[in-house]
Amino acid sequence: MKVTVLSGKGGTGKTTVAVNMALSVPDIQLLDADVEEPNCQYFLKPNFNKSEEIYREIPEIDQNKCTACRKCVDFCEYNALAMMLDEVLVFPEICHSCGGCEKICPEDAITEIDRELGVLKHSSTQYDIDFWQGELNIGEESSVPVIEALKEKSDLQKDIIIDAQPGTTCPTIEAVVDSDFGILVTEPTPFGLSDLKIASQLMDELKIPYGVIINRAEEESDYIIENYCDKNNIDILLKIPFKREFAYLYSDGIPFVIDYPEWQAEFKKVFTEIRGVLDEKDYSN
Amino acid sequence: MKIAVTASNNNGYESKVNEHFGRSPFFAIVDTEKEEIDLVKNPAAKASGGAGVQAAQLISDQGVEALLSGSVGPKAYSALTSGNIKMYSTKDETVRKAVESFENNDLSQLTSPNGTPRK
Repeated sequence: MKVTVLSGKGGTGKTTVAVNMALSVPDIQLLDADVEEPNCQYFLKPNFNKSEEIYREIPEIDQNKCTACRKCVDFCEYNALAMMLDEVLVFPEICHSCGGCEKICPEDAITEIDRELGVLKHSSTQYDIDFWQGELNIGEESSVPVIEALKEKSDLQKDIIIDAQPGTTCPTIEAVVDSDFGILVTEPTPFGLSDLKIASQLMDELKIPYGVIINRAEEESDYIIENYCDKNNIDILLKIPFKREFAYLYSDGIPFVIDYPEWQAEFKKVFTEIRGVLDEKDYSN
Repeated sequence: MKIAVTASNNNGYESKVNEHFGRSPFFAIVDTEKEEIDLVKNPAAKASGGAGVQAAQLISDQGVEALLSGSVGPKAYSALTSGNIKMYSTKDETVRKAVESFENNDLSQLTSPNGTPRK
């Protein structure tokens, strides 16, 4: 079973949920797909023992063959090419590696060369989690290829938890698109609600079943999320209370289930529930 | 000499100078000898990425030799440099004033990017 933790809004507690859940379910694989700022590592304190560079292809122009016909510049949807004084310039950071310019060049003046985009790191942590994280190199704009490569590390013999990037753009979609279930983490604020709505629309569009975890839950404000979930038949899987003790542990980089093992049972229950939902869905299909 | 000035609106010489280059809604293309002005819409204003590069291409295709803008981001800076287009930073409010400052040599030429790319 592959479960992705995502959220519309940043800072709602995706990593908190992903890490604490990974520590509550046996034999788990955790993939940190928030490759612009992978931060599961601050809680798991891994000793990385394996790393793999991720490359993608970008165009290289042979200026001797180039006749400045400009077909490649006009073709590039991402503005990664420009023609200045009859010379084609390449802006590798914005290139999406589609390869179209190489195909369209009538002079065979374009070849593709490798550019390092990021790195994957592996560690079995002190907590016995099979942990992979993706890292996007600084200055790169497209994290999707790193997330794709990270997902190839999926060990399908295990249950997999993926920590996605916040938002609802390409990197988040890439992380969640082939998951069995999505956990949408939110907080009981108008901002949390607004972005939860967008994230749930995304999941509806992708036709992936999902449920909500309310982080920093407080009795007097939870209705903000509860009313929306009630109205739209979205399950609230768990509420993590707004507790000073949890915040202290967080700031020390300690997953709170370590100090509050009773919460392991809560996360395990959520995981079992998700499996139940999916089994039921398989059965009804 | 042909110069480009970033413009927030399309109001001839009275157009407001736009602070940023890549996503500037318009460019005022000014021929300083003929004293002619032409406002060109910037298709890069709504680009999902690479706005600076696309905008640089546009003004280069207009044959300008200098750009007046509040700021210029790193990719645009590099493209414009390759295109031999000099960049000047201006805080003037209107295109008219910016062009006057340029002609009086009151504007300082950019020797490095002074803007940040926006997504």
